[in-house]
Amino acid sequence: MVVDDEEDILSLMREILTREGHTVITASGGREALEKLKHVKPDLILLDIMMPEMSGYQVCKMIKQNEDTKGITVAMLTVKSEEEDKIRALDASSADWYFTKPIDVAKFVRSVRWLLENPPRRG
Amino acid sequence: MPRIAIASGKGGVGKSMVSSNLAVALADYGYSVALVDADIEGATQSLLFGVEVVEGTTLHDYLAGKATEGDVVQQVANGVSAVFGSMQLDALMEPLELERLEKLTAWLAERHEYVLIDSPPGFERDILAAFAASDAVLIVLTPDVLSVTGALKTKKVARDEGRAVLGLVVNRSGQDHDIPKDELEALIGERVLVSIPDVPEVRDSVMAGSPMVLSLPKHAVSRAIKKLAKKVISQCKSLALVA
Repeated sequence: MVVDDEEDILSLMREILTREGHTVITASGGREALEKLKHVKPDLILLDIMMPEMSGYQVCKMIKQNEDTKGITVAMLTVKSEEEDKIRALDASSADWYFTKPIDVAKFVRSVRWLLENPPRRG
Repeated sequence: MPRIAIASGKGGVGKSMVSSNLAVALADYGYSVALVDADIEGATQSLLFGVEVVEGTTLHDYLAGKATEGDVVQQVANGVSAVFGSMQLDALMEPLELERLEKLTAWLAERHEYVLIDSPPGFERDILAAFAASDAVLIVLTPDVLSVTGALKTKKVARDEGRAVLGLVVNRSGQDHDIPKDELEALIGERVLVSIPDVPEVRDSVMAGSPMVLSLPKHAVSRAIKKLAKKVISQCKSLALVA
């Protein structure tokens, strides 16, 4: 599942990931993502941080606090690249991974494949 | 001469094992090394070297103002001096002047070519004292998400304190679910200097009280640590921390 408020990003992600053989669901915001998660359980959620209404941090926290969804791997996808942002994502929001935009497509595809095969363990 | 804090953020990643072996490996290359066990609440270096700590000669005694620099330094291997921490609970109850750690490492740096500071985990006052007493920081982690978070926090604190980060040491690597090296580098934004395999001989060496670089010099772990020593030497030169 790709969650981003920018339509261009959703289209790009859909194209890249579909070409790699993944089935892609999209949501254009946190509320839509949480609603969709009541019905589908993706193997991986790529979550933008800077979104209106609910930030990616908040969405991630809600996903990780919900018994039904906490096992889903969540990777933050954002232009924020400072240590504080990464720490906040991985620590306070309990995200499992972090991608910084702009992405290197070849590397991103490899990382996504690795993440799907090796859901991160915490400690 | 450079004072290097070996830090991790998360506890239990093998920071002390890396510190003791790195001290021996640097000495193997002909450098004089001082190792300070600054893990105030969890001192273990004396066990790693198989040395019985004499109370009154520990880092805690120095920080409590009860001992001088000369009282607390002892030679533990060829080219390696160490300042051990006390393992007595009472020592923790003493009021410790953590600021004295900087004075101690400055004293040691005048007499040794490398000073290694085995730092405490976490982000309390004691880690800040360890960073204040150092010139650069080496981050040890295991290849999992929690440890990555600890490494990121350590990097941030080191940067906030104006300390150079020499790079990452990945300990206990070689498992199927390990985060790969290039992913760790991308996540943390620092270079992996070396990966140390997860093997039972490490635990055996801890039990035997002898760093692996001394007891099993040809072992893959010892080779990795020696490679780390070379990279640390080269990093310190490139950062102009050594003449």
